[in-house]
Amino acid sequence: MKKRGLSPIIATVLILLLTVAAISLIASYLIPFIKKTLTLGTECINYREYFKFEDSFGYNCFNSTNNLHGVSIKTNVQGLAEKDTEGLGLALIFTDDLTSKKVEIKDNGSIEQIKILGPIAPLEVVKPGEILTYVYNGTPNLYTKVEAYAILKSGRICDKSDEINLVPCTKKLA
Amino acid sequence: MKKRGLSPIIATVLLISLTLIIAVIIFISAKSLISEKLLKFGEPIENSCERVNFNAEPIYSEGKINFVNRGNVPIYGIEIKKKNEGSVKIVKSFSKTIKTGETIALDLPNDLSQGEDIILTPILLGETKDSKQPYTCDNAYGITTKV
Repeated sequence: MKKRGLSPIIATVLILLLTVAAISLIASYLIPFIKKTLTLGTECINYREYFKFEDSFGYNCFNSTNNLHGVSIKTNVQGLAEKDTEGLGLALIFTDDLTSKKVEIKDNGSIEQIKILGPIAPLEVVKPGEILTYVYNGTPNLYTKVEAYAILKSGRICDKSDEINLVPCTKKLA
Repeated sequence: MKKRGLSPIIATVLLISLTLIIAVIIFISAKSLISEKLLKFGEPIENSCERVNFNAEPIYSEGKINFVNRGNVPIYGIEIKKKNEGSVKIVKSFSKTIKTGETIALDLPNDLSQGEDIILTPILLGETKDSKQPYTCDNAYGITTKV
């Protein structure tokens, strides 16, 4: 009987070409998707404990008479290069038993309720090697706990860097 | 019966090749996503900060600060910070290498007043696979003194 149809070599070549074309097509969608997902999953790794509360000044406290809250914050760079720490923001979440309030601090930002203690005029994010004390007016609420979060340049807020329980102030927060 | 299909050897070689290719692709993608840590002398740069040993003496009347590098780690620069009540703020960074055993004098920044507390922290030169970058050590490795 005379054989008809494609020869095995041509069939194999066609199958290989089809497979390569299919892989290329799927890869063009899949690779950017995986890359984006991996970026989202890893961009916060270096900033897990970036902001730390510094207690040596004794300003992590609240004043119940004027509802002022103080928090001293430093950074924990852990071998990060300068370019990796530029443009970062700081989110502070003040909480008590019933309510919470989030405050986002960015360089040259302006938030009426929050100031930097001392002669440092414009609001700014604490830089590597620095320690800054922020004074927050929480009127009418009085908060007893603060959590700090890093805000990336992309606007993403990473997981909690640090938290601290506030105690009644023994120093003036003015 | 005539055997058809791939031989077990070719099938095994194909599987191993495929696994290796996938592993390499994942490794390259993951490596590019995680930023490299700075190293010095082949170890994390923080370890070198612990070994830095230097003295600093501000002389307000002359407007100078004298530095002596007494350790065996070269200092790439010095960061001067002003310590106030509730804050430590960077005043100036000097990029001036102080080799081991060397003494240099730097200008005192104008915005420092006599009697103010300052922290002088060393800056080291770290390296990644592709480049060299400065790294400022923690305040704990610096010297706290008065102007």
